[in-house]
Amino acid sequence: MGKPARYPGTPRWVYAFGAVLIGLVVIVIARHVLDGGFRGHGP
Amino acid sequence: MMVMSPRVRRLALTVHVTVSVGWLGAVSAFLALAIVGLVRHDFLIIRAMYVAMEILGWYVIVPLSFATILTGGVSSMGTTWGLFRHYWIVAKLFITIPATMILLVHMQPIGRAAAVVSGTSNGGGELGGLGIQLVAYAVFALFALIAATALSVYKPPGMTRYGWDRQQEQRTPS
Repeated sequence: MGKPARYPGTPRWVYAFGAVLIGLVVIVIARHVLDGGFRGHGP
Repeated sequence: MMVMSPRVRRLALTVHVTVSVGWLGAVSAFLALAIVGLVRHDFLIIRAMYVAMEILGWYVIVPLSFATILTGGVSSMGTTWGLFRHYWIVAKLFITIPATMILLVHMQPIGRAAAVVSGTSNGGGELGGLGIQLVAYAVFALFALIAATALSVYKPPGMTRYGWDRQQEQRTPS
């Protein structure tokens, strides 16, 4: 019986995609913080 | 996992491609309306654009976004592709689900823009930065949906660990 095949790992494009997603999330959060979005819009 | 027959699989894929590309087309139309609403100074045109954007958003874009997620889930889970086995399918999920959530959140400013232009004689002036914001959302959504379409066409290689394990299990005779 042969050795079980090893998981080949995560391809590089997935890391690039993840980095873009995280970058977008950071930009959106930063924008909200700069606009005072998380402090609410009181009367 | 229940694997669909080839006929059902093709039907499910046809519906998925139709609604997802339809979503892309509807966002393109939305972008055109948002740009016209931003650059034109004729109040009647501005009002027509924002009212049309609200209708397009609620009656076309929102239903198509939900239909895309639903049909995509059916197509992937009913075939050997699976929902979490290949990175390109997971990547599409990371595009379409947040895009739908962001869309639902931003339907509020779209409705506000439509209300502003419907209730005033100088809609363009009162909209302020909202017009630019709507153009920016539409451009962002367009890029996200083009990325999702490209992922579906190119199907970049790479299995998740879960997908790899499932594949090894299926290959190993019990």
